[in-house]
Amino acid sequence: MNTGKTYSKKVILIGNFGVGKTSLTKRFVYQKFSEEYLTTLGVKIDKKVVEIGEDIVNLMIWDIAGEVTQTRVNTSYYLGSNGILYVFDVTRPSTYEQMQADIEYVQKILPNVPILKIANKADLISPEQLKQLPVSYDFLCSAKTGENVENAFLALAEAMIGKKI
Amino acid sequence: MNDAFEKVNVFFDMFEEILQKQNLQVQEKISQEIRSIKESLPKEEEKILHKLEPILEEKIEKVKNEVGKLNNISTAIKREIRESQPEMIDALYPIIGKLVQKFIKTELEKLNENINKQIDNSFSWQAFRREFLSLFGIKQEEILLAQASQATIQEFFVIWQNSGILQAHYSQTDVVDDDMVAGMLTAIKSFVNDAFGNKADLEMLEYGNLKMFVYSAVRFYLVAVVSGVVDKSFEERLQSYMQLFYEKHLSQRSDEEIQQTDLNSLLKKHIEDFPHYNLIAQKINEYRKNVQQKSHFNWKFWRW
Ligand SMILES: Nc1nc2c(ncn2[C@@H]2O[C@H](COP(=O)(O)OP(=O)(O)OP(=O)(O)O)[C@@H](O)[C@H]2O)c(=O)[nH]1
Ligand SMILES: [Mg+2]
Repeated sequence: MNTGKTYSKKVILIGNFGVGKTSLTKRFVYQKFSEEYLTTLGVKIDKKVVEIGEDIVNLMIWDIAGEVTQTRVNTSYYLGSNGILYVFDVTRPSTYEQMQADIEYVQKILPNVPILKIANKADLISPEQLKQLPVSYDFLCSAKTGENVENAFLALAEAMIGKKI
Repeated sequence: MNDAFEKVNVFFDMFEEILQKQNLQVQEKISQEIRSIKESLPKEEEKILHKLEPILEEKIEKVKNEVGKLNNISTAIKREIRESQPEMIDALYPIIGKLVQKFIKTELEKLNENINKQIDNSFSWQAFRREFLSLFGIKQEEILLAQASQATIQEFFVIWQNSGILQAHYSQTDVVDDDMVAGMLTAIKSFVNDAFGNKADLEMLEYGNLKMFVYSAVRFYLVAVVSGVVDKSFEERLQSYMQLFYEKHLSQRSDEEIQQTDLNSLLKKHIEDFPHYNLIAQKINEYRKNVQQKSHFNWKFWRW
């Protein structure tokens, strides 16, 4: 018998355009990947139910259209979020140069909300190149190979229900 | 004659016939009401009724006129179709089906609005609907049922204002993914807020044959998805009924309390009572007074 709790949580994916927010969501929810780039308009919502120990977490995933800086994003999409994935593209410096400022901005709107930095497109760089990467991250992922994608979402889910991060 | 043309033609013939019948039904219904009022009145008050009769006559005339107008439109469309080429009709037939549905729905809405004004809701569309469908026992029955029918609440959502997380849901069908609908509605709402400033809020969305009405409070917003013919009076009743749910079950509970309450059952009961809303409108006023008195009392008690 399940003795755990059931939660509903809102997750947002933010970051520059083309970094792979939609691809990560698609990989996580549908186990699919496509090379084609169809930029997201506004926001797209998906849902996935995960189990964290005894608990069940209903993740409502808001895949938000990318912008060069987060200050340009429709802030009402942020409201009520319980967790954030900040995604950047390891092959494009312009997608992580703004990261620190972006994260500070978002944390002002959403104080105390767990945020994970996702370095995406791991399949496109070598381990040597990776060592040169001038920014830190929480998960190195690839939506293409599926590497670490589930782990990143699950870690966020744990953090959102107050478990270890 | 072309087959498709025949079908369209038959459709309109039936439509006209039903309108005629409906016309008679309206009159009958009104005279029935008069009779029953007469029977229930004590002798000395009958005089009052004599004074009322001309007014009722006038109302019946008005209703007849409305129905007549609808008839004229139908005849005009029929003529148009008759005058066009058969191959045109073939090509148009699939579209006509849709147009006709849409047309009937809008006309019924208009008509319903007018008649409601005239006779204060004193007859129902149930009879009309039954007639209509029995004559129309063909494949479009279901579509027509959904469209030409009385307004019904199909779905009802209680959604957290910011996160778009669904707190409670009522559904006639249970086919939609309710979490997703709640999320998307919230995204649309956010978009409207952002694009037009906080002053603008989403109040109504129309999607196909469904209308979604939004009642926004501070922590929550409520959405009713309605099918069928929606007129102003229905809309107003619905809005205040949604507000009632909020006042009764949400406004006075904390976030935690709400998460622990079986809102789905409360919601179900609330919606099933909606058809009797007119009857219980009085109770609502009583309830509101009660709440005011209670808080007044609490306040004194607390100070003391
Ligand atoms: N090789 C590789 N390509 C990826 C990866 N993730 C995404 N892509 C590609 O990058 C492009 C953009 O991906 P999207 O997921 O649409 O990016 P996005 O962040 O949603 O973009 P916007 O919606 O415009 O903000 C697509 O062509 C994807 O196929 C990855 O891990 N590896
Ligand atoms: Mg996208």
